Amino acid sequence: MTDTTKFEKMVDALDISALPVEEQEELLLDLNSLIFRSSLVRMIENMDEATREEFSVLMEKNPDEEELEAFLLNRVPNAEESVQEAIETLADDILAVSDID
Amino acid sequence: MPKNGIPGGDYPPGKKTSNPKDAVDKGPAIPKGLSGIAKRAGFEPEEDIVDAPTIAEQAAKARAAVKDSPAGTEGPSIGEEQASVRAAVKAGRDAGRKERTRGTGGTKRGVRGGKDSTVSAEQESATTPETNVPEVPPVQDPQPERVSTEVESEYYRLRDTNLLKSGADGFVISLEEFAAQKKEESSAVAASTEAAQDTSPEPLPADATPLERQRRLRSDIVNDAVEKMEAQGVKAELAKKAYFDALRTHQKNRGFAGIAAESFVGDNLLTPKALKELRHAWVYERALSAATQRAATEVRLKEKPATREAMLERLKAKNEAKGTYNPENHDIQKRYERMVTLKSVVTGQEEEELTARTEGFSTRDKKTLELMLERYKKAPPALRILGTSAALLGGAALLAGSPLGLAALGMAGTSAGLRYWAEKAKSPEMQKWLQRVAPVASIVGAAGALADYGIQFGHKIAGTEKKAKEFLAKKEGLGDLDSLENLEHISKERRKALVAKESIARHGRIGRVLTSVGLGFFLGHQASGAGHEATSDVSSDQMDSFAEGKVDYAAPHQEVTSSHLKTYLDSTHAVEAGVPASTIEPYSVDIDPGQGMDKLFVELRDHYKGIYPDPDAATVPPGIRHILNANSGDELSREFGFINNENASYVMKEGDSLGFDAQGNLVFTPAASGAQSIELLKEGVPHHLTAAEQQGHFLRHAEASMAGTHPSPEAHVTSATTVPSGEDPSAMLNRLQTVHPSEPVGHEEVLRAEPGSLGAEDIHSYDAPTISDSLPETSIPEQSPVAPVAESQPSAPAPAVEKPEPAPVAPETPSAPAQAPESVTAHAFAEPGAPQAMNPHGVDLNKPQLLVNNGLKFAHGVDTDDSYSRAFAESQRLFGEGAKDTNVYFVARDYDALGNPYLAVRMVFTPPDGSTPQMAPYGEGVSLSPEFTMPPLPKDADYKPLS
Repeated sequence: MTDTTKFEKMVDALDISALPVEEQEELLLDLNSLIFRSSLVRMIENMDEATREEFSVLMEKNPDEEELEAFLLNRVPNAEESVQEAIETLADDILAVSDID
Repeated sequence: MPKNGIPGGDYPPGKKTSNPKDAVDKGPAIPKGLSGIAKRAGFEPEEDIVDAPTIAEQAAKARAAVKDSPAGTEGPSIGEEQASVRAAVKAGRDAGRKERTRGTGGTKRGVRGGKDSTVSAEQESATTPETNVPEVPPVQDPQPERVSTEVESEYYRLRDTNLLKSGADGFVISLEEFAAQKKEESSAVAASTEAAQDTSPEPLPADATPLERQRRLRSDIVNDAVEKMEAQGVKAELAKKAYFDALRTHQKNRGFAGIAAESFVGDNLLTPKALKELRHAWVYERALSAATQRAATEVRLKEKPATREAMLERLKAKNEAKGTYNPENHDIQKRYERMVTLKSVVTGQEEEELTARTEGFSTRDKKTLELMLERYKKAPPALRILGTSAALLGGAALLAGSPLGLAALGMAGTSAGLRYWAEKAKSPEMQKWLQRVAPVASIVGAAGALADYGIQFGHKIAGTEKKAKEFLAKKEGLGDLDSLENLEHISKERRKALVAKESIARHGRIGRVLTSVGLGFFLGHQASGAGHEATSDVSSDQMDSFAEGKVDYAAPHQEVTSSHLKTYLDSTHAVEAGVPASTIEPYSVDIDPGQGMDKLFVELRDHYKGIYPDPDAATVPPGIRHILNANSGDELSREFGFINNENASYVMKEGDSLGFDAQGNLVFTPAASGAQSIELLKEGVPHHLTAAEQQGHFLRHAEASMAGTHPSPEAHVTSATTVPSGEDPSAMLNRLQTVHPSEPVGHEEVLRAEPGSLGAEDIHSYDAPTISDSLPETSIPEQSPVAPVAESQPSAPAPAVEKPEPAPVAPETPSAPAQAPESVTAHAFAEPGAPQAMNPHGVDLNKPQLLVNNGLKFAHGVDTDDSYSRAFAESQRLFGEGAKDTNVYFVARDYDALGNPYLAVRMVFTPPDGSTPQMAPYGEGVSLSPEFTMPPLPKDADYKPLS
């Protein structure tokens, strides 16, 4: 479950408004990249062997986004939870190392 | 016993972790300050700091798990790594100290607050790393020391959870080996601290001046902070190694059964507790490390005023060069430093963590992952910012993970980026990508991150309205988001994204995403007050839950999608239930000065999109479906002949309207008197404007303008309102011009920037006086540059409409001879004599001028008929830094597709990054009559040269 307070604090902690737009975007790219990778790793970890094999074959075909999305959401258990975990973990860590006083 | 085996208890996410002041100012010893941080961070203890578990002890516990392999069997041993870290720390410190101290000697400096009270006796007695760090695995003492209970329990806990790696012999390391490694590790930390303390500066000479003493004091304070930072860095490294080693072991030990079980219940539930604890410890040490970094930075800045001043000066100079310096924005630097810390401590570290996790993958899985990442990296930045949505997950990430927080931030950044990139987008490829971003943005918007009220709504969700207002009130930060025009832009993007639902549908997105878009649509209507009350089954409570991120996206999601959305749509828009097309709601939109035809189409489409959310429904009238299925307003403008493919000029004139009648036909109604309406879409069949229709429209507009009542329906029209078939448009223009050479050429123009443009709210309209307002009829009217030309050369040829010349830079010589009409047309601002006469303030308009009016800058006489970059370069050449502003308007002539002049009011803006200013895209021009010259200056406005 998303913790609103946590995200509220994270918004404060990031204090992204203090950065130039260029760096805002750079930071967001970093964070999104991290979420992306983290989600993927979690999803792959959650796949059974057969699914991993199928996923590998699918990737070889260079599928479009819709195919990928459908595969991940339909075939990978807890796909959305994996993403949520990735985001929340990152949020937790940001809060942990941020001085939000 | 501390919770989770970590001294101090659990590490609750979200707790405050540190305060730089605490880490430095509250005492000389690191642990005291850091234990204060630990307390604030939520670690339990601290009835008394002295009695509380020390940082060193906490670190030692975390490090205990690191002993999972015999030293020297797999890469460098911990001891070797520690020695390396210590050596680097010491070398850096010594180098710094040499610079900071003078003379010779070796007594301990007096500033230090004494020996670190948290370093244990064992640590105190440890030898220095140079003499004590073993190069090979420690040899067991003949009579091994007794292993403490704490170490023993740590060992068995890790072993029981399979987090101890196997040694070279294939067996897990023994308790004795574990204890030895732990001891070694403790010694390393103690040695690091001790080494820092033992390296004392030379004493000050007896005759040291007060200034020298003061410098020494500052130097010692700074050294102290730096040492704390370095010591904490060592601890963080050790905690990291402990966690990573355990993580790698865990990943490799996960068997097929484990994976299957995790798949069933979620990996988080089956992650060993010990591993979680090690991760907590790792995060904790990183938090402390970040705190000491910040503290050290702050101390350095504080105690070295000269350096600080130098930094501020550099920052100021840099910002001034960019034009972004804000003297009230002193906190930016600190915040920036924090972000740097954040990046180094969070993102960098966690990337390493991910790498460690993937080490357990098979070659095939690694390749799959690489392919995905490669795909992700190929996406443009805008898409990557929303990357978890579009490139791979199609919105699942943002929907599942967060309707708040990162999603909002991602959207914010993207919105800012979108505008910037849109301005820069010249290539079709980039534009294609931007088009792809739009529907993605709608998904984010659908998640509730941003609605039509832009950032306010986002912040209402994320926090409070008050916070949103604070953001909006800020003059700095969030760059574009605090400006009204950007909010408008976001709003437009959202609307555009919402109407792009059909494109998402074409892409075959699965129902979940479609539903989310639908919900976003619903929320958008709620937020924008679009006149649709919440008549669906989606209650306000549900909306609140959704907005607060309390919606369970898993099972209930489908239920929300189909039933609620359908109910909402059905109940809100009865038209879906089969209302005959003949009774559709007529609706039309009028064009405003400076508005592009494409915007009218978009506006129209937005309106009907609200009524017909599904364009493919059988009940949608064919004409409306045609509009709804178009990809863009630009596409429609071209389809119906309102736009010239070569230079993107629009035929539309101010006051023209476009709309659907009650029969569902799309009708274009020119504003000019006598003009016939044109059915652009009749029963779904499109009609492309003919050349005659286009030209006729221009001519009617020209007539209306020349009649001085542009483009009022009451304008006096003296000639045919349609172009005779086959007549040359230029001849027609010429005829019109010569027919009315002495007509008053009053010109009433309203310079009005689009709502979304910079400074739009500041621009005021002004009326140009007609000749009769200010000049005697018998004299050459000084207030109008047109009349004298027309009278003196009544038969002069008409402006060269086929190949209009760009407006050149005005001549420097005020007394240049009068020019021919075509020159008047092409060189409106260079016309000699007349501008002088128009000038009530003594402004010499015979040369290019940068004028200011009501805080806005207007650049006159700059050739804008060429590329933007050249126009800007020209303005820079002419006006230098004065034109390097965010609100410079180029007042110049330009031409439409048929050679008719426009008053091009183009905005020059400086991109947020301070790079070279650019001109806004074309499309804000105001239609002019062929005889148009520069409108007189405002009568009583403060319109004067910029000094």
